[in-house]
Amino acid sequence: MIVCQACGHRNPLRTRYCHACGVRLEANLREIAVAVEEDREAQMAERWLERGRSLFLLGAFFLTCALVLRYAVVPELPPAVMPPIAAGPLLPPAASAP
Amino acid sequence: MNGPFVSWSSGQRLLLGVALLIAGAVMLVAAAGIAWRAVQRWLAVGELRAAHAQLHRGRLDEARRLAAAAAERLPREPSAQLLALDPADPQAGERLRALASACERANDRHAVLATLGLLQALAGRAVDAPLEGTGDARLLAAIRAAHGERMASWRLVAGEDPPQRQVLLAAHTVLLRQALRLRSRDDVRLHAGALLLLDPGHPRAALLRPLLLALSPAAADEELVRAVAEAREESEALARTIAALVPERRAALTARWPGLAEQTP
Ligand SMILES: [Zn+2]
Repeated sequence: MIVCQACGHRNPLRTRYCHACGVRLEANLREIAVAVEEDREAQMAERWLERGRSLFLLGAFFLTCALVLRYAVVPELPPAVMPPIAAGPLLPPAASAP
Repeated sequence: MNGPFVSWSSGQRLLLGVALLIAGAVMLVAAAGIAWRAVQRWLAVGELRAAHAQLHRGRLDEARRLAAAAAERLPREPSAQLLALDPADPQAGERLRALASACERANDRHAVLATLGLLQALAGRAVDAPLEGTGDARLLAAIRAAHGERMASWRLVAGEDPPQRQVLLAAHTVLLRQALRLRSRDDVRLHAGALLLLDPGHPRAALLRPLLLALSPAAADEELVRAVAEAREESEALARTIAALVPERRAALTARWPGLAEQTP
């Protein structure tokens, strides 16, 4: 950013005339160095924002798909049924016959 | 990303980017977990349906193997765990109690409790599974009473929850055994007929049919002897039981199995 010496407006790097008042900007080397550094930081922030947005959208898409799969596609489990349980021999033991 | 963030400083935009990145990563991990469990559930549903089909065909081992595979996928689902349960397992009671408290559906809980109650009743122990107000409770009481010398019975009451099929099968089996021991013809007819009615492909149908034939005045002795012979290695024990229950059939059976003459009074 280059700060206008007349009105104080913050103009982007590589600007010759103030975007607010039109005065020719007089930037010193220190200001330019600061402006370059700010510009670099802004670009880095932009890249991270872009990456974050992409992963967020990807995550939201796959989460929606997973929830649809779980609650709309996969059928209900059948009701529980008892396992067959042996109730012993059908005929009474010969020894106990009256 | 411009729009609402155009007035934000670089530091704020960087922070937002990192926050979105973390949120996106968390959602991806959650999506993977949910999808994995959904697929496991889907596979388990298929295995359980196949297990039920095998059960209907009387292939118990195959049904139990399929249910065990489903139970491994869904360790907390009663419909998978219950069918995979080995009733002979000494830990079965504890596992059923834990399963009953984890049931979300009332019908599942009833099936789990009825299994617990049936195991307790067959072992001759007091039934502490809470089954009050269900047909199963009456059946389990009849099973426990079937050790006595007075023929046990039960009545189904309108408005009660209907009993589980396995409890009904077990009750008829135990009461049939008691009826044979007490030589109560009417009860033998009732319980043998009910078992065949409940399960036409009953694994012991070869024993049940001759019992009913022996009690039917319309059945000839030759027909009965043929039916008893079909019980193969159990023919002689069956013939002895029938001879004790229906003395008028004794002569025909002794002619075919002479061993009966000296072994039964
Ligand atoms: Zn200016």
